[in-house]
Amino acid sequence: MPNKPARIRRCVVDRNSADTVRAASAFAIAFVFGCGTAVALAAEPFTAKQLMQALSANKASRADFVEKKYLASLDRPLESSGELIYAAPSRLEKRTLKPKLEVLIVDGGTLTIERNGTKRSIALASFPEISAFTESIRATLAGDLDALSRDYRVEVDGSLARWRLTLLPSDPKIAALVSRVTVTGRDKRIDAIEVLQADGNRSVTTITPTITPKIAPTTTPTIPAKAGASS
Amino acid sequence: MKSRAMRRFAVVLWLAVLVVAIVVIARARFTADLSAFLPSKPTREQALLIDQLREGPASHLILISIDGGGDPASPASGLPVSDVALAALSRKTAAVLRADPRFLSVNNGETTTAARDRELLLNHRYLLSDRIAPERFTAVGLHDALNESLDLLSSSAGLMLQSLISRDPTAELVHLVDTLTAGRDLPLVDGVWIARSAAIDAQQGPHALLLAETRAAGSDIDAQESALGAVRSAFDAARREAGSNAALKTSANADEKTNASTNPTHARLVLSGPPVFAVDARNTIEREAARLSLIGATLVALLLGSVYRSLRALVLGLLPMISGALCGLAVVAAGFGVIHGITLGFGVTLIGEAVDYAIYLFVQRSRPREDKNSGSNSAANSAGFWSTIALGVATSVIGFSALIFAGFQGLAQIGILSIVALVVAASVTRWVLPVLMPTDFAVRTMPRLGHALAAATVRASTLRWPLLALAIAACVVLSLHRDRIWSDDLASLSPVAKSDQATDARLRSELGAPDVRDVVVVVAPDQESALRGSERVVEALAPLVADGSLAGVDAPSRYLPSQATQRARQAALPDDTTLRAHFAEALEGLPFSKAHFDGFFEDVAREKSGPPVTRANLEGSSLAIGTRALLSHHESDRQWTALVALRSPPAQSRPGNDMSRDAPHDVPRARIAAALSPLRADANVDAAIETRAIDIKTETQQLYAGYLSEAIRMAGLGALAIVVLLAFALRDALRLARVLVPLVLAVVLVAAAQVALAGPLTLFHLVGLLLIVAVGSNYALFFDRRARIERPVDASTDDTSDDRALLTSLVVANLTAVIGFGVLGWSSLPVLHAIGTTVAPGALLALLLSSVFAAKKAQAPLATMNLP
Repeated sequence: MPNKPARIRRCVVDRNSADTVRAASAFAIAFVFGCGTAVALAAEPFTAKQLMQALSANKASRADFVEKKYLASLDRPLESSGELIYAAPSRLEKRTLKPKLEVLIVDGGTLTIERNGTKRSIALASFPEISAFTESIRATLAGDLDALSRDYRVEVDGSLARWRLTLLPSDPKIAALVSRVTVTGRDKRIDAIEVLQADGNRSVTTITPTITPKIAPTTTPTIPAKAGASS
Repeated sequence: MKSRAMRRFAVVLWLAVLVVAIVVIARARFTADLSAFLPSKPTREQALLIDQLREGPASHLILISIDGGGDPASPASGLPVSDVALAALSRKTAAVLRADPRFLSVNNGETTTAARDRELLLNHRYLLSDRIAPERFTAVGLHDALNESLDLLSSSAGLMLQSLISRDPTAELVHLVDTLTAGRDLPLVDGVWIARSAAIDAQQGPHALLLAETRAAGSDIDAQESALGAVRSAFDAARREAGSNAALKTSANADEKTNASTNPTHARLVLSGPPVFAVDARNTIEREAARLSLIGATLVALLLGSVYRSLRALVLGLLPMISGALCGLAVVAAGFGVIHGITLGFGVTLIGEAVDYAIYLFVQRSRPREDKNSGSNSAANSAGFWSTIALGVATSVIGFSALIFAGFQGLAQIGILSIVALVVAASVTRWVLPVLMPTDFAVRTMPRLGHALAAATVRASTLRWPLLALAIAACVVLSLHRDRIWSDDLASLSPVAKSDQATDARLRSELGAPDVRDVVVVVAPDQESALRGSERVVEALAPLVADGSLAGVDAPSRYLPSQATQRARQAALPDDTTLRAHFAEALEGLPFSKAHFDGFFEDVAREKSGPPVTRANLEGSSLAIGTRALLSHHESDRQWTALVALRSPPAQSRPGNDMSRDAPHDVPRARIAAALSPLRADANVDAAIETRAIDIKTETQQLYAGYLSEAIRMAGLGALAIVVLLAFALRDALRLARVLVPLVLAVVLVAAAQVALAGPLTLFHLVGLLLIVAVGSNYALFFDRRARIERPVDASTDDTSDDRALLTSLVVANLTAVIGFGVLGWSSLPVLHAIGTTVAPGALLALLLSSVFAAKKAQAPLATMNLP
């Protein structure tokens, strides 16, 4: 009765889902391939299956990254850098330190972005497109090439010494956002991830494993400042 | 002959009055609006508060939870329904309700308005964004804005801007979306809100959340009930469909166990919010009024039937009570226009009191014949009998008068009903029943019971000292609890069950919409003034938000800026030539040479000269919902009300407090008042705009405390009036004391027992204590009378049958009162429960104490005088 004052007011303005999908997909792909230290098992013939198995061996890892975005509207690429952290089975974290602190976490079904002191979360499952990406992460980490193949055409070329994995979206929803994802690596390490967006914008992320890898990812907000380490 | 005409006239008059009463009642309207139990003479803040409770935007929001079930404690209940199945149920239910004209909006997390929102925000970003000011469009301002946009573009969060940068280089859309969605993140599964709590409580497994806004006002309980019915049937249909789908799958898979355990038919609907409470309260009142009346009437009829052993006696005995109840209700209906459900329920208590008069009459009339003949004092006795009844009625009437002046319409109704009913019942007993009673009418006098009672009363006085000791103990209990005798919690009067209140609080916090404790209410003559007032409040409180004293404010002007503000923003936008010049300057040193900003220049020019955004423009967007929730129009006084809700900072944000994450800190009310004071004092501010900060919790408590103290004062005056009346009637200090002591002790003992066993007393207990005095005064007066009439000097065993009859009638009357009120004790409505649990033991005690403290019968001089 009288202790029920006026109180609910709610106005939900959703971010454009397409943009979120782009962010999540780019990020997700960056993670699938970016955090792991690829462990090669066999030399020839080099197949996607072998590569997946190698990547799935990762339980926890940490790497520095430098991301360059080539936007159609800009004269020069925008550069950002920071740290990537992965913990099996489902937690992925991208900590951007430059030019501005930003933490992006995919944990289970939730994607969280923390920036300018505010934190936003979305559920990956809200969007089938992003769901496809999270599934691809898990499928990849579990060495499940079949699951990955549901959303993408997977191509591998080169050799373990110098390989390249190309993902071409087979789902039109994903294809509307991303044209192609290319991951390159050498031996046990991933060197770069290139995401080509459907609108022509492109980002290239280069990855360097942290020199002293830690067993478990940290969740503390204090992280050592590693200014733009790159390969 | 004359007396026979008089008698006939009495019967005819009685029948005529009954007919009129029945006609009036048949045409009466019944209500269950519990705000009748809110004060009728509130302060301005309280008036605004009550208004919001009854008609405010929150009063027509239904909180819906679709629970997945699955009790870890009992695996047999099956696994919880999967999140995806819950999401499907949520979607289907919402889709049905969205098509239902009874609902303004249904939100379950689905982005049904996302496209409309985006279009609206993009098209009107330069009128809606609070960052639009002249300095933002200087070369320097634009340069800074572009630099910020570059930062954003390089971030993972900047993808939204990528495709828009040429049209929106200052990222106004991103800013708008950020500010409007701040603090509104609910976990989503498959696109709808799914909450899960880590708590062990099985009730809090995964559940889908929905928020439905009904078109009808919160006070329209019929409409709310129909809306709730729509929600239930939409859910049932969705669940049936899901169930049959699941069954199909089950038969296909032939794997029954797995599927049955996550069967969507296990899903359960939980509804909460003001409409649910209002409808539940009404149904509870109706149900309990009917049920308790039936139980009370049946029990009393059984008791009287077993005493009288005569159907005729039973029917005759109930006549005064029924007549009284009908007349009482008719007077209430005529006087108030509506009869409150609780008043109706309270009528049950009249069974317990009005029936007494007939009992006294029957037993008095049924003295054995020889006894009746032997005494010529019969007429004198009869006169004494009626004057005692009259004094008892007068005492009760004074007691009930206190209710009329207590300032609650609901209590006033109860008071009037009781007064009219008692007076009518006593009158019918006095003038109509004797006419209807056959001359040889007699009921069983139960001489054995009478003897036993007479013997008991002789020994009763030995209980005086133990009872006084008990009374002293009760006083000690009361003094130990002196700070907690009266409850200051308005919720204790609420008919909403504690568990329902807890569910409501849980759903609210999960929906990210906890109870707002502090609001600023702006009342203005028109919408524009209300919005301007809202903007001034937001501006005045901005420093408190900036330094973290407030987590934020939610104001209607966030969704719909006033026309004045929008015009100021249009004025702040530079003309096309200036903008191009400033922008060209701002681009220097920035990597934008490849970009074309024509879309930007066009949008600014269009917004600068275009019409401002109106409420109609918002239709179909979530901005419309936000505006509607905070900005309302009152038909009654043609005023507009803007609510600015203040969000208190979370507790954990302050160092040194690790108490509870859930308990937010209080807002700094003194600083808020200081910040708002210029708005009230400034003569330049439109005088018609009224701005008041309301701390809802404190305000409701003060409101209640004020009325409680008022009611205590009225009760005190009522008690004093009873003392004066009795003093006047008895004209003897000792007799007065003998009548008053049992009543005072009964009240003290019951109050102490309540305080010690059931916690602080509420307003309704006060009413109950008053009723103890009203009912108990009858017993005390009869014992007073008993001490003054004929009695043999000799021992208890040879008592007169008259005396035995009196004692018997008192006990029977007392039992009916205890039954009538005792039944109320089972009610789940606080008002009826409190009165029942107070009056039933109080009436019993009053009778016991009256006999214990009555004058000893052996005092014989009076008896000698009465003998011929």
